[in-house]
Amino acid sequence: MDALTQTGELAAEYLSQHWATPCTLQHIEQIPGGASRETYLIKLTRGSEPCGVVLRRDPPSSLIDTERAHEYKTYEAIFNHGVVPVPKPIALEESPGALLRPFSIMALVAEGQASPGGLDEPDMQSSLGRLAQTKWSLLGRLSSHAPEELGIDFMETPVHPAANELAYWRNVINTDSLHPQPIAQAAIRWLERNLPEPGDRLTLVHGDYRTGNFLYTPQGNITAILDWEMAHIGDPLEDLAWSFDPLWSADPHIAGRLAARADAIAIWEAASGMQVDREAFRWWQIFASVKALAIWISSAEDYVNGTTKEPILALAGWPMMDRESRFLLDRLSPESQFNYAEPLV
Amino acid sequence: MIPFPGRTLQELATRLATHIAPRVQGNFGQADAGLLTGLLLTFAQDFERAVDNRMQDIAQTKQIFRDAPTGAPGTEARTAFLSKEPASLQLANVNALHDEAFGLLIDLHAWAEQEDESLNLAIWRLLRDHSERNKFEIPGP
Repeated sequence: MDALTQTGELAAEYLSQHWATPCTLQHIEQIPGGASRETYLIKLTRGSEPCGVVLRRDPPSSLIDTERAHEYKTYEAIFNHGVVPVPKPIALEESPGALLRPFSIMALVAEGQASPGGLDEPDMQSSLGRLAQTKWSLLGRLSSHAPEELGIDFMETPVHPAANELAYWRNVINTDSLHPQPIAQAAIRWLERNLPEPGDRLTLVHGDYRTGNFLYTPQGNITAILDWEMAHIGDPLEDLAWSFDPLWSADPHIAGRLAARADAIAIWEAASGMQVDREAFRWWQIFASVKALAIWISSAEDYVNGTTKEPILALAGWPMMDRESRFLLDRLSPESQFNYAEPLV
Repeated sequence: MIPFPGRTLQELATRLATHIAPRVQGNFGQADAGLLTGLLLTFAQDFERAVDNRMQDIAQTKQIFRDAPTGAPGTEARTAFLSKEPASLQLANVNALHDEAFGLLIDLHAWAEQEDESLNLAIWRLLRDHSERNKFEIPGP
C-alpha cells in the first residue's frame, strides 16, 4: 500500500469511529497548492451513501506558522453563523495519533474551483463581473458584522489593529530575513511614520482574502471561502487592501483578475455600509505588500533552514519576494514610474 | 568546465515541462513538476548574473557611501567598508560582502529619509537598479 492510500485508509478508519458508521475509502488525491498544510480530497462511502471530505494535515514544515485549532474554530464560527459560505467542519485532532500528524477534516464542497488561472478561461469571461460582485459583496457582508455577533470570542481584540499587525509582520521580516532587505525596511519605516488611527469599527478579518482562496462556479457564484488560518479581529480595510495586491492579478489595473479597483471598492462599500477612508486605505495597501513580503521571506527561510524541501516554499520565496519588492518600490520611491503596480487608490 | 550552466538549467526546465510533467499522474504530481520547472527557470536566470549583479550593487553602494555627507551617522563603518572586497568571487563570499553593504545602506537610508532628500533619492535609484538587475521572469501564482 502506498503512502497516499494509507493516508486515505487511516482517514476512513478515523471517520468510521467519529461517525460510528462504517466508512470505506473510494478515492484519495492530494490537492496541489496547500502551502501551509497537506490537503487531500477523499471520497468515501459512509454506510451506503457517497461522501466527500477534505483532509488538512500538518506538514513537517509550513509556509505560515498558524494554529490549526484557531483556523478550525474560525470555520466553526463562520459555518454556524452563516455570514459567508464555508465548508462544514467535521473534526479536529491536535494529537498526531490517528493520522500520524495533527489534522482537521471538512466536508467537501461539491461545486466550484479555486484556480486563479481558471478566471482567464474563455467560458469565464461573461461571469467575471458577477464574480467580482459576489467576491467583494461577501467581504463587505463579513465586514458589516461586529465580532461579537460571530462567536469568535477566542480571538484577541487589538487596541490598535494597524500597529498590532505591523508589529507582528515586522517581527517576521526581522527574524526570518536571510539577507538585509532595504526595500522592506523602507516600507516598514513608511508604515511606522504613517500609522492610521484605529477605525470606528472592528470586524473579523479573513487575513488572506484573495482570488485563489475561494471556490467559484462558471456562473460567477462563490460556493466557499477557504483558508481562514490567518483570521483575526482587526480593521476591515485590511482584507480589502489585501484583495487588491498586484500579486493576485497579472494586470495591475484589475483587482484580483476581476474588476477595476474603483468598482470593487464601490461593491464593498455598498455591502458593508461603510465608506473607505482613502488615507487609511493607502496605508493598508502598503501594509498588504509588506505582509506578503514577510510571508515570502519566511517561506524562503523555511526552505533553506526547514526540515522539508517543498518546492512551493522556494518558489513562494525568491521570485515572489522579488515581485513584491518591486510593487513596494513602485509605490514608495519618489521617482516611481509605476511599471509594476498602479499608484495607490 | 560546464560552459553554459544557465542555459543548461533552462533546457532542463523545458525538458521537465514538455517531456516529464505530461507523463506524471495526478494533479499534485503535475503541479509539483510545474513548481520544479519554475524553480529551474529561476536558477537559470540567476546563475550567470548573480556574482555580477551583487558586485554592481556593491559598487553602487560604495559610491553612495562616498557621496554621503560626513554628518550622517555611521561614517566610520561606511568608510571602513569602502576598502573591502569579497574574499573570493565565490557566490557565498560575494553575498557576505553584499549583506554588509545593504545592512549599512539600510541605516543610511533611514537617516536620509528625514535629513537629506538628494541622498534619499540616490538610494531609491540604487534600489530600483538593484531590483531591475535581479528581476525574475516567471509567471506568478
